Amino acid sequence: MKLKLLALGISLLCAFPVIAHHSFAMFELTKDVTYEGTVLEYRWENPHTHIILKVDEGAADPSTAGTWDIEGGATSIMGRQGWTRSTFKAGDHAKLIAHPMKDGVTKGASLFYAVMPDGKRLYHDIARPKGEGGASSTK
Amino acid sequence: MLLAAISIVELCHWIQHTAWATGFRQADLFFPLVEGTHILALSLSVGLILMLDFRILRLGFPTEPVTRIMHQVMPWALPGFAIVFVTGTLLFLAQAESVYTNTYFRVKMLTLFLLGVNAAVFQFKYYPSLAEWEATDAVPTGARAIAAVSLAFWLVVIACGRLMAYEL
Repeated sequence: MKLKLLALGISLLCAFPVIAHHSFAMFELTKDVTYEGTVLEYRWENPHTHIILKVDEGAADPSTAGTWDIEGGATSIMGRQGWTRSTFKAGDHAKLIAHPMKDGVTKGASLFYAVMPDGKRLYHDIARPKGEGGASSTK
Repeated sequence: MLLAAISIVELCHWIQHTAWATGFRQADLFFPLVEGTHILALSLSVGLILMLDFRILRLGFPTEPVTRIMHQVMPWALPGFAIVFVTGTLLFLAQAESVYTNTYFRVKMLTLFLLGVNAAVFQFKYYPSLAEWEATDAVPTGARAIAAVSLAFWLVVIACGRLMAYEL
Protein backbone atom coordinates (compact mmCIF):
# COMPACT_ATOMS: atom_id res chain seq x y z
CA MET A 1 0.00 0.00 0.00
CA LYS A 2 2.71 2.42 1.04
CA LEU A 3 4.74 1.44 -1.99
CA LYS A 4 1.73 1.99 -4.23
CA LEU A 5 1.20 5.47 -2.78
CA LEU A 6 4.85 6.29 -3.29
CA ALA A 7 4.71 5.06 -6.88
CA LEU A 8 1.58 7.12 -7.47
CA GLY A 9 3.28 10.17 -5.96
CA ILE A 10 6.35 9.77 -8.13
CA SER A 11 4.35 9.20 -11.30
CA LEU A 12 2.22 12.28 -10.53
CA LEU A 13 5.36 14.34 -10.04
CA CYS A 14 6.81 13.13 -13.32
CA ALA A 15 3.69 13.54 -15.42
CA PHE A 16 3.16 17.24 -14.94
CA PRO A 17 4.19 19.77 -17.52
CA VAL A 18 5.76 23.05 -16.59
CA ILE A 19 4.42 26.36 -15.33
CA ALA A 20 4.06 28.62 -12.24
CA HIS A 21 6.74 29.98 -9.97
CA HIS A 22 9.43 27.39 -9.45
CA SER A 23 13.12 26.62 -9.70
CA PHE A 24 15.02 25.35 -12.75
CA ALA A 25 15.54 21.89 -11.24
CA MET A 26 13.33 20.16 -13.78
CA PHE A 27 15.27 21.46 -16.80
CA GLU A 28 18.46 20.07 -18.33
CA LEU A 29 20.43 23.31 -18.08
CA THR A 30 23.52 21.95 -19.81
CA LYS A 31 21.54 21.26 -23.00
CA ASP A 32 20.89 24.10 -25.43
CA VAL A 33 18.30 23.07 -28.00
CA THR A 34 17.18 25.24 -30.93
CA TYR A 35 13.43 25.38 -31.44
CA GLU A 36 12.40 27.14 -34.63
CA GLY A 37 8.81 27.53 -35.70
CA THR A 38 5.60 29.50 -35.46
CA VAL A 39 4.40 31.24 -32.30
CA LEU A 40 0.95 29.97 -31.40
CA GLU A 41 0.70 32.01 -28.23
CA TYR A 42 2.85 34.64 -26.54
CA ARG A 43 1.81 34.87 -22.92
CA TRP A 44 3.52 37.88 -21.37
CA GLU A 45 2.62 37.34 -17.71
CA ASN A 46 3.69 36.43 -14.19
CA PRO A 47 4.92 34.33 -12.57
CA HIS A 48 6.40 33.06 -15.85
CA THR A 49 6.15 34.21 -19.44
CA HIS A 50 5.29 31.45 -21.92
CA ILE A 51 5.87 31.09 -25.63
CA ILE A 52 3.83 28.30 -27.18
CA LEU A 53 5.77 27.36 -30.29
CA LYS A 54 4.85 24.98 -33.10
CA VAL A 55 7.88 23.35 -34.72
CA ASP A 56 7.19 21.70 -38.08
CA GLU A 57 8.06 18.10 -38.90
CA GLY A 58 10.73 19.26 -41.34
CA ALA A 59 12.74 21.07 -38.65
CA ALA A 60 16.56 21.00 -38.78
CA ASP A 61 16.44 19.02 -35.53
CA PRO A 62 13.66 16.44 -36.06
CA SER A 63 13.48 15.72 -32.33
CA THR A 64 12.09 19.23 -31.81
CA ALA A 65 9.02 18.71 -34.02
CA GLY A 66 5.77 19.35 -32.20
CA THR A 67 4.18 22.00 -30.01
CA TRP A 68 6.36 23.29 -27.17
CA ASP A 69 5.71 25.32 -24.08
CA ILE A 70 8.87 27.42 -23.78
CA GLU A 71 8.91 29.08 -20.42
CA GLY A 72 10.58 32.37 -19.59
CA GLY A 73 10.86 34.34 -16.37
CA ALA A 74 8.74 36.95 -14.65
CA THR A 75 7.92 40.02 -16.74
CA SER A 76 10.24 42.26 -14.69
CA ILE A 77 13.21 39.92 -15.22
CA MET A 78 12.66 39.66 -18.97
CA GLY A 79 11.80 43.35 -19.28
CA ARG A 80 15.30 44.22 -18.05
CA GLN A 81 16.76 42.19 -20.93
CA GLY A 82 14.68 44.09 -23.47
CA TRP A 83 11.59 41.92 -23.79
CA THR A 84 8.18 43.58 -24.02
CA ARG A 85 4.60 42.40 -24.26
CA SER A 86 4.87 42.86 -28.04
CA THR A 87 8.18 41.05 -28.66
CA PHE A 88 6.19 38.23 -30.25
CA LYS A 89 2.61 37.72 -31.31
CA ALA A 90 0.72 34.68 -32.54
CA GLY A 91 1.74 33.82 -36.09
CA ASP A 92 5.29 35.19 -35.78
CA HIS A 93 8.26 33.08 -36.78
CA ALA A 94 10.60 32.52 -33.82
CA LYS A 95 13.97 30.93 -33.18
CA LEU A 96 14.36 30.06 -29.53
CA ILE A 97 17.25 28.43 -27.72
CA ALA A 98 16.05 26.66 -24.61
CA HIS A 99 16.86 23.97 -22.04
CA PRO A 100 14.49 20.99 -22.39
CA MET A 101 12.79 19.21 -19.51
CA LYS A 102 14.89 16.47 -17.91
CA ASP A 103 12.17 13.86 -18.32
CA GLY A 104 12.62 13.96 -22.10
CA VAL A 105 8.89 13.41 -22.57
CA THR A 106 7.07 16.63 -21.66
CA LYS A 107 7.26 19.16 -24.48
CA GLY A 108 8.41 21.98 -22.22
CA ALA A 109 11.66 23.92 -22.05
CA SER A 110 13.26 26.78 -20.14
CA LEU A 111 13.98 29.74 -22.40
CA PHE A 112 17.65 30.70 -22.74
CA TYR A 113 17.48 33.27 -25.53
CA ALA A 114 15.67 34.19 -28.74
CA VAL A 115 17.50 34.93 -31.97
CA MET A 116 15.66 37.90 -33.45
CA PRO A 117 15.24 38.50 -37.23
CA ASP A 118 18.19 40.97 -37.17
CA GLY A 119 20.40 38.24 -35.70
CA LYS A 120 20.56 39.83 -32.24
CA ARG A 121 20.04 37.67 -29.19
CA LEU A 122 17.39 38.52 -26.66
CA TYR A 123 18.30 36.75 -23.43
CA HIS A 124 15.79 35.49 -20.92
CA ASP A 125 17.76 36.72 -17.90
CA ILE A 126 21.35 37.51 -16.88
CA ALA A 127 22.66 34.05 -17.87
CA ARG A 128 25.00 34.01 -20.89
CA PRO A 129 26.66 31.10 -22.69
CA LYS A 130 29.86 29.95 -21.00
CA GLY A 131 32.92 31.81 -22.26
CA GLU A 132 30.92 34.80 -23.48
CA GLY A 133 31.23 36.81 -20.29
CA GLY A 134 28.46 37.76 -17.91
CA ALA A 135 26.91 35.28 -15.57
CA SER A 136 27.34 31.61 -16.43
CA SER A 137 24.45 29.74 -17.90
CA THR A 138 24.20 27.64 -14.77
CA LYS A 139 21.41 29.18 -12.77
CA MET B 1 -22.84 16.66 -10.67
CA LEU B 2 -20.79 16.56 -13.85
CA LEU B 3 -22.60 19.63 -15.09
CA ALA B 4 -21.70 21.52 -11.90
CA ALA B 5 -18.03 20.54 -12.26
CA ILE B 6 -17.95 21.82 -15.83
CA SER B 7 -19.49 25.11 -14.89
CA ILE B 8 -16.93 25.75 -12.13
CA VAL B 9 -14.11 25.24 -14.63
CA GLU B 10 -15.91 27.57 -17.03
CA LEU B 11 -16.33 30.15 -14.30
CA CYS B 12 -12.61 29.88 -13.46
CA HIS B 13 -11.77 30.17 -17.16
CA TRP B 14 -13.83 33.35 -17.33
CA ILE B 15 -12.20 34.81 -14.18
CA GLN B 16 -8.69 34.09 -15.46
CA HIS B 17 -9.45 35.85 -18.74
CA THR B 18 -11.02 38.99 -17.31
CA ALA B 19 -9.10 42.21 -18.01
CA TRP B 20 -8.45 42.51 -14.28
CA ALA B 21 -6.86 39.07 -13.91
CA THR B 22 -4.77 39.49 -17.07
CA GLY B 23 -3.65 42.94 -15.93
CA PHE B 24 -2.68 41.51 -12.54
CA ARG B 25 -0.59 38.74 -14.13
CA GLN B 26 1.12 41.30 -16.35
CA ALA B 27 1.92 43.68 -13.47
CA ASP B 28 5.69 43.89 -13.04
CA LEU B 29 5.57 44.98 -9.41
CA PHE B 30 2.15 44.18 -7.98
CA PHE B 31 2.18 40.47 -8.85
CA PRO B 32 5.54 39.63 -7.20
CA LEU B 33 4.56 41.84 -4.25
CA VAL B 34 1.37 39.85 -3.64
CA GLU B 35 3.22 36.58 -4.27
CA GLY B 36 5.99 37.50 -1.82
CA THR B 37 3.57 38.74 0.82
CA HIS B 38 1.64 35.47 0.64
CA ILE B 39 4.82 33.57 1.48
CA LEU B 40 6.24 35.97 4.08
CA ALA B 41 2.95 36.12 5.98
CA LEU B 42 3.26 32.37 6.55
CA SER B 43 5.79 33.22 9.27
CA LEU B 44 3.11 35.19 11.13
CA SER B 45 0.29 32.73 10.60
CA VAL B 46 1.56 29.16 10.31
CA GLY B 47 4.87 29.96 12.01
CA LEU B 48 3.18 31.14 15.19
CA ILE B 49 0.56 28.38 15.20
CA LEU B 50 3.40 25.85 15.08
CA MET B 51 4.85 27.44 18.23
CA LEU B 52 1.58 26.78 20.01
CA ASP B 53 1.57 23.20 18.67
CA PHE B 54 5.13 22.76 19.90
CA ARG B 55 4.13 23.90 23.37
CA ILE B 56 1.07 21.61 23.54
CA LEU B 57 3.24 18.69 22.43
CA ARG B 58 5.86 19.77 25.01
CA LEU B 59 8.46 20.07 22.26
CA GLY B 60 9.15 23.67 23.18
CA PHE B 61 8.60 26.33 25.89
CA PRO B 62 7.95 23.65 28.55
CA THR B 63 8.00 26.17 31.42
CA GLU B 64 5.46 28.51 29.79
CA PRO B 65 1.75 27.88 30.38
CA VAL B 66 -0.20 27.03 27.19
CA THR B 67 -2.53 29.99 27.82
CA ARG B 68 0.38 32.39 27.94
CA ILE B 69 1.76 31.18 24.61
CA MET B 70 -1.70 31.16 23.08
CA HIS B 71 -2.55 34.68 24.16
CA GLN B 72 0.70 36.07 22.87
CA VAL B 73 0.62 34.20 19.59
CA MET B 74 -3.00 34.73 18.50
CA PRO B 75 -3.04 38.54 18.12
CA TRP B 76 -0.30 38.10 15.49
CA ALA B 77 -1.38 34.81 13.97
CA LEU B 78 -4.94 35.91 13.15
CA PRO B 79 -3.98 39.02 11.13
CA GLY B 80 -1.27 36.83 9.57
CA PHE B 81 -3.93 34.39 8.39
CA ALA B 82 -6.00 37.30 7.05
CA ILE B 83 -3.01 38.45 4.95
CA VAL B 84 -2.33 34.93 3.66
CA PHE B 85 -6.01 34.49 2.82
CA VAL B 86 -6.39 37.79 0.96
CA THR B 87 -3.15 37.43 -1.04
CA GLY B 88 -3.94 33.77 -1.72
CA THR B 89 -7.39 34.68 -3.03
CA LEU B 90 -5.85 37.29 -5.35
CA LEU B 91 -3.30 34.79 -6.66
CA PHE B 92 -6.07 32.25 -7.18
CA LEU B 93 -8.25 34.69 -9.13
CA ALA B 94 -5.35 35.72 -11.36
CA GLN B 95 -4.78 32.10 -12.42
CA ALA B 96 -8.18 30.65 -11.54
CA GLU B 97 -8.48 28.07 -14.29
CA SER B 98 -4.95 26.67 -14.10
CA VAL B 99 -5.09 26.63 -10.29
CA TYR B 100 -8.53 25.07 -10.02
CA THR B 101 -7.51 22.13 -12.16
CA ASN B 102 -4.24 21.67 -10.25
CA THR B 103 -4.09 18.48 -8.18
CA TYR B 104 -1.84 19.94 -5.50
CA PHE B 105 -4.19 22.90 -5.11
CA ARG B 106 -7.05 20.51 -4.44
CA VAL B 107 -5.04 18.54 -1.88
CA LYS B 108 -4.05 21.85 -0.29
CA MET B 109 -7.68 23.06 -0.03
CA LEU B 110 -8.84 19.72 1.37
CA THR B 111 -6.04 19.80 3.96
CA LEU B 112 -6.92 23.40 4.89
CA PHE B 113 -10.52 22.33 5.41
CA LEU B 114 -9.41 19.48 7.69
CA LEU B 115 -7.21 21.95 9.60
CA GLY B 116 -10.28 24.11 10.10
CA VAL B 117 -12.19 21.15 11.54
CA ASN B 118 -9.16 20.32 13.69
CA ALA B 119 -9.00 23.87 15.08
CA ALA B 120 -12.75 23.87 15.72
CA VAL B 121 -12.51 20.65 17.72
CA PHE B 122 -9.80 22.22 19.86
CA GLN B 123 -11.84 25.38 20.31
CA PHE B 124 -15.03 23.63 21.40
CA LYS B 125 -13.74 20.51 23.13
CA TYR B 126 -10.45 21.43 24.79
CA TYR B 127 -10.26 25.21 24.99
CA PRO B 128 -13.14 25.58 27.50
CA SER B 129 -11.32 23.33 29.96
CA LEU B 130 -7.88 24.73 29.20
CA ALA B 131 -7.50 26.34 32.63
CA GLU B 132 -8.20 23.00 34.34
CA TRP B 133 -5.76 20.83 32.42
CA GLU B 134 -3.19 23.56 32.37
CA ALA B 135 -3.18 23.76 36.17
CA THR B 136 -1.98 20.17 36.40
CA ASP B 137 0.06 20.45 33.19
CA ALA B 138 -1.50 17.18 32.04
CA VAL B 139 -2.34 17.92 28.41
CA PRO B 140 -5.24 15.65 27.34
CA THR B 141 -4.25 13.09 24.70
CA GLY B 142 -6.90 14.50 22.36
CA ALA B 143 -5.41 17.98 22.56
CA ARG B 144 -1.98 16.55 21.86
CA ALA B 145 -3.34 14.67 18.85
CA ILE B 146 -4.85 17.92 17.56
CA ALA B 147 -1.49 19.68 17.89
CA ALA B 148 0.26 16.84 16.07
CA VAL B 149 -2.30 16.90 13.25
CA SER B 150 -1.93 20.67 12.99
CA LEU B 151 1.85 20.38 12.76
CA ALA B 152 1.74 17.68 10.08
CA PHE B 153 -1.08 19.16 8.01
CA TRP B 154 0.42 22.64 7.87
CA LEU B 155 3.56 21.10 6.44
CA VAL B 156 1.42 19.35 3.83
CA VAL B 157 -0.33 22.64 2.97
CA ILE B 158 2.98 24.46 2.49
CA ALA B 159 4.50 21.61 0.48
CA CYS B 160 1.43 21.49 -1.78
CA GLY B 161 1.56 25.26 -2.23
CA ARG B 162 5.13 24.91 -3.45
CA LEU B 163 4.45 21.86 -5.62
CA MET B 164 1.48 23.57 -7.31
CA ALA B 165 3.96 25.68 -9.26
CA TYR B 166 5.44 22.62 -10.94
CA GLU B 167 2.11 21.50 -12.30
CA LEU B 168 0.32 24.70 -13.33
